[in-house]
Amino acid sequence: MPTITRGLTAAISCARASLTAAIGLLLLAGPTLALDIVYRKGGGRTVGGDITKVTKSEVVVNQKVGNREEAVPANEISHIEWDAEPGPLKLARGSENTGNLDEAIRQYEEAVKAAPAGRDGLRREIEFGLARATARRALRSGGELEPAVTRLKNFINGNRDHYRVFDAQLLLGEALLASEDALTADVSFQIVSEAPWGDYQMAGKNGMARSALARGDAAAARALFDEVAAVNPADPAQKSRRLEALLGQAQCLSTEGQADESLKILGQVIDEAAEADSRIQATAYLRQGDILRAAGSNPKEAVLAYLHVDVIPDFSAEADLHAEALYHLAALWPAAGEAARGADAGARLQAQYPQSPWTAKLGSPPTN
Amino acid sequence: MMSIPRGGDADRVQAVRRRGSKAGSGRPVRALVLLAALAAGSSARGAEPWQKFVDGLRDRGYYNTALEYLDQAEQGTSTPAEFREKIAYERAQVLLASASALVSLDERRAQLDRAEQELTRFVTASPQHPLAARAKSDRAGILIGRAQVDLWQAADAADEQKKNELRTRGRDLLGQARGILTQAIEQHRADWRTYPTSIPESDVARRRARDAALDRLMQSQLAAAEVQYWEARSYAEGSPQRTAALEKAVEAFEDVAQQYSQSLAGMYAKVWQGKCYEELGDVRRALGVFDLILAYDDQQPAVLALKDVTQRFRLICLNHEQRKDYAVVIEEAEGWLRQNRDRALTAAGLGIQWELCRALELQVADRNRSDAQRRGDLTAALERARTVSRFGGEHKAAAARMAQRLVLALDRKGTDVRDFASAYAAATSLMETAQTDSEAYRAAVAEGDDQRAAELQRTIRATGDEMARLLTLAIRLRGSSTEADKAAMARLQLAYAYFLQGRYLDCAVLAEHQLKADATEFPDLARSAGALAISALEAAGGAASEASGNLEREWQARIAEDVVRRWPDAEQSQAARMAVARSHWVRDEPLKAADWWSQIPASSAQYPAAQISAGQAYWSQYVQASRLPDSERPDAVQLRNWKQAAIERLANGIEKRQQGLAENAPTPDDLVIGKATLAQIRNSDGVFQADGGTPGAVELLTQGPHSVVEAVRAPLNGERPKDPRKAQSEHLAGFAWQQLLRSYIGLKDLDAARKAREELEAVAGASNPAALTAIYVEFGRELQRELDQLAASGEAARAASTRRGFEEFLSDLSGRVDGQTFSSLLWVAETFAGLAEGADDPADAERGFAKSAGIYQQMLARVDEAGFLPAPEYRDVLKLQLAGNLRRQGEFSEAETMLLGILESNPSAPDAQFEAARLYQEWGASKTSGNEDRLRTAIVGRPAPVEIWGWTSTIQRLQKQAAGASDERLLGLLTDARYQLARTELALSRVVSDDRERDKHLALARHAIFTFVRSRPEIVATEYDRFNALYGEVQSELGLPARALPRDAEGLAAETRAVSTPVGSSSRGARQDATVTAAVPTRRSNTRLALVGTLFGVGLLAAGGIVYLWMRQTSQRRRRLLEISRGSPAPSGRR
Repeated sequence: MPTITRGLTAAISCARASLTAAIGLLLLAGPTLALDIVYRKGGGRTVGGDITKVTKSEVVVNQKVGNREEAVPANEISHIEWDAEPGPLKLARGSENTGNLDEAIRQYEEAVKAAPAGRDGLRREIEFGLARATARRALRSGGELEPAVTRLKNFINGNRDHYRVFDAQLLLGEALLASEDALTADVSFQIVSEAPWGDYQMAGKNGMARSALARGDAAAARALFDEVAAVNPADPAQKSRRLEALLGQAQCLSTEGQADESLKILGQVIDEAAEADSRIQATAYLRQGDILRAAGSNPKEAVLAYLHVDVIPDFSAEADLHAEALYHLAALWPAAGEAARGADAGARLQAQYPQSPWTAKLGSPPTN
Repeated sequence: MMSIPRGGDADRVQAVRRRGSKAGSGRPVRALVLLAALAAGSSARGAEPWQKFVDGLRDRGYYNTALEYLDQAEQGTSTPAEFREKIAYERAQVLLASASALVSLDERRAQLDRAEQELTRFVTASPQHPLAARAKSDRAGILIGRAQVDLWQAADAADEQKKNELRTRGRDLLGQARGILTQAIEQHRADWRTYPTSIPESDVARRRARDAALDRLMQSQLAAAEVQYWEARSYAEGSPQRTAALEKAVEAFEDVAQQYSQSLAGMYAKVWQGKCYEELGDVRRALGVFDLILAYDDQQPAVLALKDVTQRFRLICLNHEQRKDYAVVIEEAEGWLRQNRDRALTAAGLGIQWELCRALELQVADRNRSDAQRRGDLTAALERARTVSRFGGEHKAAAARMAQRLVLALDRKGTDVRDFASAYAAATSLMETAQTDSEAYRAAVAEGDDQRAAELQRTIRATGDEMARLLTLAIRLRGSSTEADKAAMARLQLAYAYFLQGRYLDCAVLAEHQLKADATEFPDLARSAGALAISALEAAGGAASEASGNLEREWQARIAEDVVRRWPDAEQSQAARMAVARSHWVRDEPLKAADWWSQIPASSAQYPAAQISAGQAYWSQYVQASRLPDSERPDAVQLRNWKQAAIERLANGIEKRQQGLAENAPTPDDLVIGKATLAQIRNSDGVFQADGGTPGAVELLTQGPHSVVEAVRAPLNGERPKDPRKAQSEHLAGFAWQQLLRSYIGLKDLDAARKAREELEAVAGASNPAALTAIYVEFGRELQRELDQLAASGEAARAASTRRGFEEFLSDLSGRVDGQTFSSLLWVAETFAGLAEGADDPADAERGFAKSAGIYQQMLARVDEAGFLPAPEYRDVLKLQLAGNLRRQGEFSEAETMLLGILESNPSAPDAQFEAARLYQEWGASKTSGNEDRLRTAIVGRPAPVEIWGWTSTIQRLQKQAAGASDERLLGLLTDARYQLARTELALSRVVSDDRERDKHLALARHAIFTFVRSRPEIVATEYDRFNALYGEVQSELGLPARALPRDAEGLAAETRAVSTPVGSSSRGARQDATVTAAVPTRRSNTRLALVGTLFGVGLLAAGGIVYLWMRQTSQRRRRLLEISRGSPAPSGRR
C-alpha cells in the first residue's frame, strides 16, 4: 500500500519513509462483531457466538445466528478467540506458534494486565496460555521448571472444570518428569487417562508409562505402552498417540538390551507415521541413532539416522531434536572419516542453538 | 554442458521459464514435479523419506553419503518399489552434481562416465518410467560434458596427432548427444502438448507439471543448439568446417531465441549466438548482443549467472585482435571481481579472471607504458594466473603456462643480484619510482580518477613486492664490509616496501625497531623510521574495526610520544603529532585530538593547519557537550572555555594561513574550512557583522582576499569535487551559504537573506528537491542546536532574542507574495514548526504552530496552481503536516477530519497512522469530554469507520520489521511508539474512575517503559532521560518513592522486586486532576527532529551539514585523503 509521503517532505514529518519502506504488512483487522469464536483443531469448522458454559469436557456456544446452542468437545478445541480480547493475547498466540516463547510469555503477561475486569473466560484463557508457554520454554531449555510447574498447578487448582484442564495436566506431567518428580507426574497423567476421549486417555497412559520408566519400573511402563499400542486408532490424534506408545515400547526394549527389536519398532513408527507427525518420526530417527551409536560397530549407520533429522527440513524444524542430532553428528562424523563435517555440525549447533543443553555438552563425550 | 543444469557450473545455466518459475538450478523444480507426480497416487503415510533424504544429502554436498545411502537402498529389502526403480537415476544425479565440484578434468571425465552408466542402466531397466525421457536428456548432457573436456584438452595439446584424436572423439560424443537430444525433443514436445493451454490456477500440481514439461523441452532444444556450437569447436580454428558449423549454430540459437524470447532460455540462446558471432570474427555484432543482456536489470540468481557468462564473453571480445581494449577489460574485470567476490571461483568467474590475465599480459606490449607499469601488469597477471591454474577447468593449463612465462619474464628484468650493493642499488632505484608513482596516485585520487588510481596502486604494490624481495636479499647478503648506514637504510627501505605492499603491522614493527636501534647513531634515519611507523599504524587503524583499532592507536601514540620526546622540534615530531591527533579525531575524541594539534609549535610549517584543526576539535567538543542531557552536561564555564579555545585557535590558524598568501593565490581548502567554522561560531554568538576589530560572520564569509563564498563557487565545468574537504565540494559550499543565510537572518536583511538562500538552493541543485529539503531541515536543526547551546551555556536571554529574531524574519518572509515557491514556503513552515517544538514557553509554541499551520493552509490553497506541487502526492503530505500543526494547536476536531480523510485513501500509511495515534492521545489527555474513548483508541486503535492502528499495533508492526534488522531509524520509531504508549496509558489511568482500572493502566505504562529498557541493549542518554522522567510520573501516581529507571534487565528485575505492587493494592497519594493538558514535547524529547535526523542520513550530508560532522566518517577513502592533505609519506596500498 503506497504511503502518502515521498522523499521531498518525507524527512519533515513523523514516521515517514523509513516506516514506509519498512512496513509492508497489513494486519487483519480484529472482528467487528461482539463474538467469542471457538476454533477447532485441524482447521475444522469454527463456532461463533456467546460462550455460555465452559466445563472440562466441553464449551457451549450460543450462536447468534439462529439462536441455537452448540457444544464443542474440549478435545477438539484449538483455542478460543474472546470478544474484545486484548491485542497482546493475539500477539502472544502468534509468538507461541512461531516458537518465540520469550516474547509470547511477555505478551501473555501484558494481556493479563490488559484484560478487562469481569471477563473470567478471557482471563482463564490468558492464564492458561501463559502457563503453557512458560512450561514449553522450560521443557525446551531444561531450566526454570519449578516456576513452570507452579504456574500450571495454580491454573489447575483454580480451574478444575475448565476445558483446558486436561491439557494443563499433560503439560504438568511433562514438566514434573523433566524435574525428575516422576511420582507426582504420574498423578497428573493418571488424571488425563480418565478423560472422556480416547486420544487423551492414550496420552495419559503414555505419560504414566514414561513416569514408570523414570521410576525404574520398566515392567509397568511396558505394560502401559503395550496397552496403548494395542488400541485400534479411531482418528489421527489416536494414531499419533499409538505411535508415541510404540516409541515407548522401543525405548523399553532398548533399555532391556533388545536393540534389534527396538529398531524394528522404530522402523514401524517411521513407516506408519503421517507426514504431520514429523516430530514423532524425527524422534524415532534419533532413537535409532542412539541404538546404532551404542552398538558402536558402524558409526556411519548412526550418522545416517541422525542425518535424517539434520537434512530433512520437516525434521530439523523441531529445534530441540535438531540440536540433539547435531550434537551426535559432531562426535560421529570424525569417526566416520569426515572430520570437517563434524566440525561443521558442531559449529552449526553453537550458532543455531546457543542456549540448548546440547550445546553446553559439546566438548564432552556423548552419553547414552 | 550449458543448458542442462548442474550445481556450481555457471556455464550450465538453467533455461527456466521466467514466468512463475523458481530462479536458480532446475533441480528443485524437477524434484517438486517429481514428488507431485509420485504423490498423486500415494497415501498420506510417511515411511522412510527416501527422496527427501537423498535430496537433502545432495543439496548439502554430502555426495559420498548420498551414494552410500542409495547403495543401501538398492541392497535393502524394505525399499519401496517405486524408489528402488529410480535409484540408478538418483545415483546419476548425485554423480553429476559432484562432477562439477571436481577440479581435475580427468576426474571429472571419470565421474561423468559413471553418471552416464547409471543413466543408461536406468533407461534400459525402466524405459517407460516418467523419468526415462529426462534421463536421456541428462545422458546427452553427460556426453556434451565429456566432449567439452576432450576439446579443452585438445586446445592445450601440443602434439597435433593427440589434438586431432581428442577432437575426433569429441565430435563423436557430440554426434551421440545430438541423436539423443533429437529424440528427447520430440518426446518432451509430445509430453508438453498433452497439457491443455489453460489450466485453472487452483490446479497447482498440474500447472507445475506443465511448466516442468516446457522446461525440459526448452532445455533439450538449447542443448541441441549447444551441440552445434561445440561441434564447431571440434574443428581447427579458421577452418571452413568450423565456420560452417558456427553458422549453423547461429541459426540453431536464433531458432530457440525466437521461440522463447520472453524467457531465460531465449536470453541464453542470444548470449551463445553472440559467442558464435565473436568466433566468426563479427566482434561488433557480438558486443551488441552482450551489451543488451548486460543491461537487463534482474537480480535473480539464474539471471546473474547468465550475465556472468555474458560478461566473460564481452571481455573476450574486448581482448580480441580487432579491439585490443585491454584497459577496459582490466577495469571491467577488476570491477566485477570487487563486486562479486562470492562468484569469483565459478566457471564464469574464472573465465573473467583469465581474460584479465590476458589483458594484463597483452597490455605490456604498449610502448607508452613505463617499465614500472609493465612490471606492475606482469606481476598482477602472474598472481591472477596462479589463481586460475589452481582451480582447474577450461583455463587451467593455459593459466599454468602463462604463470611460467611471466615468472621468466619478470626475472629477465635484471633483478638477478648477487651482492648487497647491487640489491641495494636496485631497490633504491625502485623506491624512487615508487615515490613518483605515489605522487601520481595522490593526484589521481584528488581528481577522482579512480581508474588511474587503481592502476597506479597496482604498480606501486608490484614495486613494493619487488623492493621487499631485493631488500630481504640485500640484508641477507650484507657482510662485514657493508657500510652501517647503508645497512640501516636497507632496513628502513624494507619497512617502506612493506608499507607499499599494505603490510602495515610488519612495517610498524620493523620501523619502530629502527627508531630505537638507530636513534643515537643515525638520528635522521630513526626519525624517518618513526614517521613511517606512525603512518603505517594510521593506515592499519583505518582498516581495523572499532574494537580492534585500539591496539594500533595505542601503539601509534607510544611511538609518537617517543619521537616527540627524543626530538621535540623535529619536523617528523610534528608529523607524529598530526598523525596521533588525526587518530583521536576519527575515533571521536576531539579533546585529545585538539590537545595533540595544539602541541604543534608555531615554527612548524604545519602550524596553521594544526591550529585550524584544533579549533574545529574544540568546537566539536563544545557542540557535543552542550547537547548532553542536563544530568551529564559539563557546567557552563567549561563549555565556554571550550568555545573560547575554539575561537582562539581558529582565528590564529586563519591569520597564520593568510600570512604570506598572495592575494590572487588560490584559497587553500583548510582556510575555507577555518573561516566557515569561525563564522558559524560568530553566528551562534550573534556577531553577524564586525564588532570593533573582530570580524563578524558576514566578513569572514564574504570579505577578500580569499573570500569563502568566492572559493566555494562551482568550477567552470560545473562539476563539484566529491571530496568533502574541498572548498568547491557540495558539502562545504552548502555549509558556507547556510552560515551566510543565518547571518543575514540575524541582521534581518531580507534581500541579502533571499540571495543567500537562492545560492544555497543552487548548491543542492534546483532539480533535486530531496536534497533541497534536506538543506532546509538541516538549517532548522542547526537553529535548534544553536538555541540549545545558548541555553546550555546559560545565555537564556540571547536564546530568547535569537528565537524572536528568527520569528520576525520568517514572518516578514512569509508575508511576501513574490517569488514564493513550494520549497521556500515549506522552509518557512517547517522552521516555524521547528521553533515551536523547541519552545519552552507554551505561548511561543502555540504561536509557532499556528504560523506554520497558516503557511500550510496557504500552500494547500495553491495546490491546483500549475507547477506548484512537485508531484500530486504532495497534496496529502501538506494535509498531514497541517493536521500535525492543528493537533499541536489543540484543534483536535479539525485535525481529526483532515486525518480521517487522508487515511481513507491511504489506510496503511504509517506516518498518517502515527499522527492519528498522537492525535487521539493528546485529545484524550486534553480538557475535553470523551477522553477515555480517545485514549483507548490511541492505544488499541479501532477498525471503523476508518481503521486506526493505535500504538499497540504500530509497535507490533515495527517490531516485526525491526526484528533481525539493524536499522537505527526503525529502532528510533519503535522507541518513540513505546514512549507514547506508556504516556497514553498514564493519561488513561488519570481519567478512569475505577481504582483497579487505574492501577492496571499504570502497570501497563510501567510495562511499556520496562519493555523499552529490555529491548535496547544500549540506551542513548536522551532516550533514557525521557523514559526516566515518565517513569517518575508513573511512580508518583502510584504513590511510590521516586526511583531511577534501571538501565538493564537485571536492574529491572531488582526494581520489580523492590516495588512490587499487585494490581489493586497500591497505596495512593492524592490523585491528580483527571484532566491534564497534553504534554508539550520537551526540548530534549524532540521527536520530530529526531525523526527528521534519522530519516535523512545521506540527505543531510548532501545538504552541507556541519563541516565537522563529515569528518566523523571513517572510510578508507577519507583516510587516504587525510594522508594526502597532511603530507604522509605514501598512500596506503591495500591488499
